Amino acid sequence: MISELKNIVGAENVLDDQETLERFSRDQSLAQARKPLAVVKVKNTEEVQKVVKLANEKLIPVTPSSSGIHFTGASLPSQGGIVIDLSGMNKILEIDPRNRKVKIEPGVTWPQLQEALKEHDQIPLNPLFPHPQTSALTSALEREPMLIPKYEYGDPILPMEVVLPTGDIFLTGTASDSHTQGAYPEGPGIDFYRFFVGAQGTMGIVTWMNMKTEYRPKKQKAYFVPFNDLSEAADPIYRIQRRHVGNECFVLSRLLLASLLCEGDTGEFDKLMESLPPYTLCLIIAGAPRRPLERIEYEEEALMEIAATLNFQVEKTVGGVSGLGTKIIDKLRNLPSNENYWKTTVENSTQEVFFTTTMDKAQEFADTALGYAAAYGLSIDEVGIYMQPLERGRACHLSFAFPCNLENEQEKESIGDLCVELCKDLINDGAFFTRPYGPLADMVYSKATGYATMLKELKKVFDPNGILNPGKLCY
Amino acid sequence: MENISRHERHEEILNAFEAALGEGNVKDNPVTVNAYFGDWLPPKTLGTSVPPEFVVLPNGTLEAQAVIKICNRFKIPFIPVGSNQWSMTSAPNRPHTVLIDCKRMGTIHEIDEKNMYAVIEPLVSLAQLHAEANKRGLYIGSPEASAQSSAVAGHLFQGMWGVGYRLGVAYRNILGIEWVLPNGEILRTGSFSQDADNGFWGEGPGPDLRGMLRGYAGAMGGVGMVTKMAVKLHPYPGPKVWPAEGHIPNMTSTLPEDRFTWDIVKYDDLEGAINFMYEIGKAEIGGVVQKWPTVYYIWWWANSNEEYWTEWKKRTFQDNVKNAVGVSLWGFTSSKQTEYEKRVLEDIIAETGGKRIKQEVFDQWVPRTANNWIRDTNGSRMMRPSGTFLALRLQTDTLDFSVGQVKTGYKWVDKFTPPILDSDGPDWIGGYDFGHFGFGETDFPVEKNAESLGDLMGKLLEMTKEDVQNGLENGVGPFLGGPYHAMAAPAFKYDKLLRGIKKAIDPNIVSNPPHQIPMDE
Amino acid sequence: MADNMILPKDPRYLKYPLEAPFDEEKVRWIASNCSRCSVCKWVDSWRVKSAKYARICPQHSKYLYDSHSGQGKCDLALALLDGKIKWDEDPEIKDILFQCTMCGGCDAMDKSIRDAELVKMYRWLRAEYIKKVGPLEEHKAMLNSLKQYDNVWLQPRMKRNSWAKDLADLGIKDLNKEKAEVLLFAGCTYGLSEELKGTVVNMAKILKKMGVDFGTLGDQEMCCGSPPSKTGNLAEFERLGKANIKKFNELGVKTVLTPCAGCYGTLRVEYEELGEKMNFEVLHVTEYLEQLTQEKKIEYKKEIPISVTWHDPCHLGRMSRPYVPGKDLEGVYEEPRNILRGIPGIELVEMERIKEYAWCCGGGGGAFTSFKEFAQWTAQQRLEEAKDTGADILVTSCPWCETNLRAGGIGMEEKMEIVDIFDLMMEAL
Repeated sequence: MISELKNIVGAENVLDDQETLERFSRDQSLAQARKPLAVVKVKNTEEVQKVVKLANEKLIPVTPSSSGIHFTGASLPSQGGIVIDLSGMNKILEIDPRNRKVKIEPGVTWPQLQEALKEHDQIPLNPLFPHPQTSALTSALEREPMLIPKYEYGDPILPMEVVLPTGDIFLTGTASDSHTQGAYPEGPGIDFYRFFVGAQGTMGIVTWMNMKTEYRPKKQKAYFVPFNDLSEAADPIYRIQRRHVGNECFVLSRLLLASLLCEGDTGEFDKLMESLPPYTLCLIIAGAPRRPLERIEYEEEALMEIAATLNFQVEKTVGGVSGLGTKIIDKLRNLPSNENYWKTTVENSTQEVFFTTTMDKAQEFADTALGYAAAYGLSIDEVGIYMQPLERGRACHLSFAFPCNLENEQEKESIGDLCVELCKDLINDGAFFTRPYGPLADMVYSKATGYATMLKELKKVFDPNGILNPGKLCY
Repeated sequence: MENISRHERHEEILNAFEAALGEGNVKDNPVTVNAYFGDWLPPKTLGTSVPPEFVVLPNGTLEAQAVIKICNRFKIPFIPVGSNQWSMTSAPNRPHTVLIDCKRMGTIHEIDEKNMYAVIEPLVSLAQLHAEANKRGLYIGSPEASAQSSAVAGHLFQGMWGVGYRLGVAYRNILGIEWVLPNGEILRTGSFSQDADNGFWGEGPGPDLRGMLRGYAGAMGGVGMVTKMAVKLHPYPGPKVWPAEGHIPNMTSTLPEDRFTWDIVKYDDLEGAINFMYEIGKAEIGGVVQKWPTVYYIWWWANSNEEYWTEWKKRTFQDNVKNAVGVSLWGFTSSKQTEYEKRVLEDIIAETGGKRIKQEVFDQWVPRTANNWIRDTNGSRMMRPSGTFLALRLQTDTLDFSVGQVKTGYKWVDKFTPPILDSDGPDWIGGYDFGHFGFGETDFPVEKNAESLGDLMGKLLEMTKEDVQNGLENGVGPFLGGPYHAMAAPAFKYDKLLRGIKKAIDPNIVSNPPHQIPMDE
Repeated sequence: MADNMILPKDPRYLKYPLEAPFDEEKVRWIASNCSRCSVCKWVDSWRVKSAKYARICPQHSKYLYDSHSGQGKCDLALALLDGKIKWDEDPEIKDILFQCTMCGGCDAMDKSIRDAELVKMYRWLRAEYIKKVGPLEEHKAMLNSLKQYDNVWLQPRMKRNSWAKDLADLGIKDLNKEKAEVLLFAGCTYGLSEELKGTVVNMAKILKKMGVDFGTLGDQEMCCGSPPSKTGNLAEFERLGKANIKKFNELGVKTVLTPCAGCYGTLRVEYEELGEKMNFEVLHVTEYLEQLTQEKKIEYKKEIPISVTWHDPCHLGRMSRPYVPGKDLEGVYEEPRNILRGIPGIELVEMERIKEYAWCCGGGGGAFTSFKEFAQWTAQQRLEEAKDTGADILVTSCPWCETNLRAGGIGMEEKMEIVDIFDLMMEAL
């Protein structure tokens, strides 16, 4: 098979040396290391197709990988086989500022995309300060939440090209024919695109994707609101969102904000941990392309009205951080492209438990998480909490990050147990894990048995030989 | 009654339904079934639709499941309907059909004001939901099926409501779903999958099975029956009770001017109008942005047939609203947003060379008609002047793409006029998601006349084939229902996938065949 | 340019055939142009104020199947006319056609999107049913009563004007012998019901207080013809209608006043169909009083500190004007409301479904006698709606509404008092 793979992609692109296999057998999660037989670097869709077809012939699992780094275990070859590495397919195929969309390959990263869009006054709809090596396409597919809740469409996905697990090509939405401009994701027939979203690469390999972009504001202002806990933050955010105020809007706990701001400087980190409030709402009010300051003005006025009514303070900074607004805006508009990932300030990894809920329940879940953290010997300041309002604040992405030294087996086991036990409790209390990775999948699908049954039927239709990333989700 | 052929096991089936639902909740008599196979188009008259054999009224998911399981047991087709609005594809097309009518499923289970969603059953109308939402400072749009139609069905079918420009369109408005599959299994999606009482979120877990329910248009009852759905509601700066003055049919509506405005701006050509729509989208202003065809103006405005045709002959609208775009600004944040957006709108109008339509035409049209696009978009008015209308070559992609498509629509409509009636260019283009995409549709009046029906249907069939062919060639099309999918699926390579899904969930092919895709023909 | 336009060939699309005789062809026209949009089942979307009170059709709301709706009756009409269903084939045909209270809710809502006359279509279907299958058992008593006594209540003629017996001092004229320009036409129910007579007495007293010179027809008053008309017994309706028109013309009355909404709608709208010249105008007493109060104030002596809600009788409202396509569905909406607002202490609170989109009391169309349970169910829905306003009492001006609402209230835990507007006025006077 190796020789057949080499015939497809070229010998230099088939890697089966121990070092490579070792590297692709593990990631930043606590998932069990699993070695592939080979890592195959592909350059184009045709190669992807051929590899997948070969895998079908040989009944060998294929696990797609697009990012240079992974955090969930989804790209690990749970049942061996081939890892197909799409990170080399990193072209930005088309930027369409008139229709505010961009067409990208899987290897394109967020900083790369953001940079390319700058000259067109556009921004990508990225999640919270992603790792510079994260595939933008995969990030969107995996529903990593956007920072701007005012866009009711919720995710930026538009038509895409998919290599199905059979090796056939499928074009979703209006990309199904080249006469269109690929702007609408529904169809053809049914909303096939939805089957590939949240699928952890089990239903198809996306080889390009159109994504929505939005205007890159030339004028904007940052506002910060300190809170003691998430329950204090809920009503203000509900009201802010309900009155259509602001663009980026997210809440970070002290640990996460300190990690973001310190830029690897541990001294600075310690100072910030002393001075920052427990939680900070970061809100950007952005000027529109036309009369930007006027829009900022009326939105700011509304923000102040809300603050007066609900009795909270809107600040230019928190924790006495000088130029905080400029720093946050700069980080948002110039995603870091160096390798110092802000989330690894405390330890070399963070293990995240994240789910969707509503903001009025966030504190309850935070209490649960912090309770578990304490039981496992972590203080409140050692848990990173991030709340991202979604779609006008009607729900939120809530995440608890536990620092974990991946080189310490005991710590890995302890944090792993913490996460599993916490998740069980959270699920029982109504946390909705829409993206169940690793051991979470079984917990989620054992409750959603009907859903799992249907997914399995769907999987049989798409992947009759069961070769695409088996072992993930309920497959 | 003529034309009802009974299943050889009719009595057994009847007994089974009665046992599951209670005696009064099943009917098979001529007078009842007769009321369930009409539709707004000629098919009933031409005899291509037949009465159902049974009409059943389940109360809730479990009873709906029982019905569907009985249908599987006896291998008889069923069609679930919401309000059965216009019954386009819910008129049975084969004998022994069970029509599942949701008249006992009209509960609003929950409205969560804070988290802005409602959990509803299929009979709940959009008007009911509007009214309850408005009381709470919230809102939901209404597509042309209009507000007396089922909110659930509207979300499943198409749902290009006007305010989708800002608030998103129907497929994005669906949260958790509870759904009886054609095989009788209950599927709960989104957060319902974890807790049947908690529908706040729609995605997953994992891949999103909402993808099975609809695409560009819905599954026409071919994937079972949705018995409960959570839908998004949206912030609304309007009054708690819809403002309406006057009496039917001359009601007017004026929303508070500090939060809602209307402008109608015209251009020399369609490209100019579309450019205007692009600029508005990029500027992120507006609540509704629609380029209506002339007929839309008069369809919704006229309050009698005589008024319609008198005004049409006067060319009031033809001479004034061609290539015009209707823009409603909404001051969600405050009245200052409305003021700001007005200034921006003026800038854009000046830059793009737009001109407001004549004040007298504006005054004639707006108070009586414009707010239809916010409250109910009552498409049944499209039937008034000639008995029926047709909507073909619906397409969604960029706004620019819509221009190309509706222009081919002009030629195509000219070719088939008559029997298409005078319509002044059927080019409806709506802007959605702040102009990220445009939806175009070609609507035109045709006469519902029994005498000329034969000729009409022949031409309609020809038109339809051309329409589908155009769709196949251009990647878009109506793709409404099974027969269209049968043609389009091989061209767009979803044939195997869709049939695979249909086979998996509907092994006995009982869920409104030939929808979602024909499996036996 | 209009000459070059491709317009509908059928002239009925260019203009609704209002003047055309109401015959099978017209019924077909109305029925076949039903687009199955369901407006006939729901309150107009612009007027819906809550999910609870969003329905307009009592028959459809109770019986649920679409056959029991305006749309279903259109489908049935076509099937019957085409011979696809025989008139006597299914016992439910009778229910579908005759349960309906002929309230016009569907008719009014339908007019918001097309030109049509649904209630007239139902009346035609009822008449055809009677021709083809036979008169309903339930109507026989009413028809016999009319034949014998010219009233629907099997009461001898001499009782007709008995309400005026004790009012000799008021100087109410007998127009069979004396002249007056205003005829007070009490109607069968107000005139003959022991329970409701008092209301007519009060009304007569109020008119006299306002200085109105009026008279009655005494025991010569005949039924207006509404019950036979609504139930499809058109020959009887024609007999009574023509006789009444002739009489009123002969007596030289200029204004026919009636307190009964049923009589009002019939005299005002349905009599036009008879093709007889009418030398008089028809007014409801509230209309007349409200006109009078513009010239001369009513002096109330007593304050009545209660909140009231007004129920719009269908035949005083949406069914009270001849149909003109495109014209407002006017009715006597504001006049009773203005009167109520004028009574000291009264607070008027509105139900959600009012005016042309009011929910029917359930008592009309023959349902009161032929489909009692349905009639009372309908009434109970209305009473619940009235209670939800928080009002102390429900006020109306129609003997059928009052009777049926009271009947519906029996058995309800919390009762709502039903008061006639004239009784309330009298109390304040």
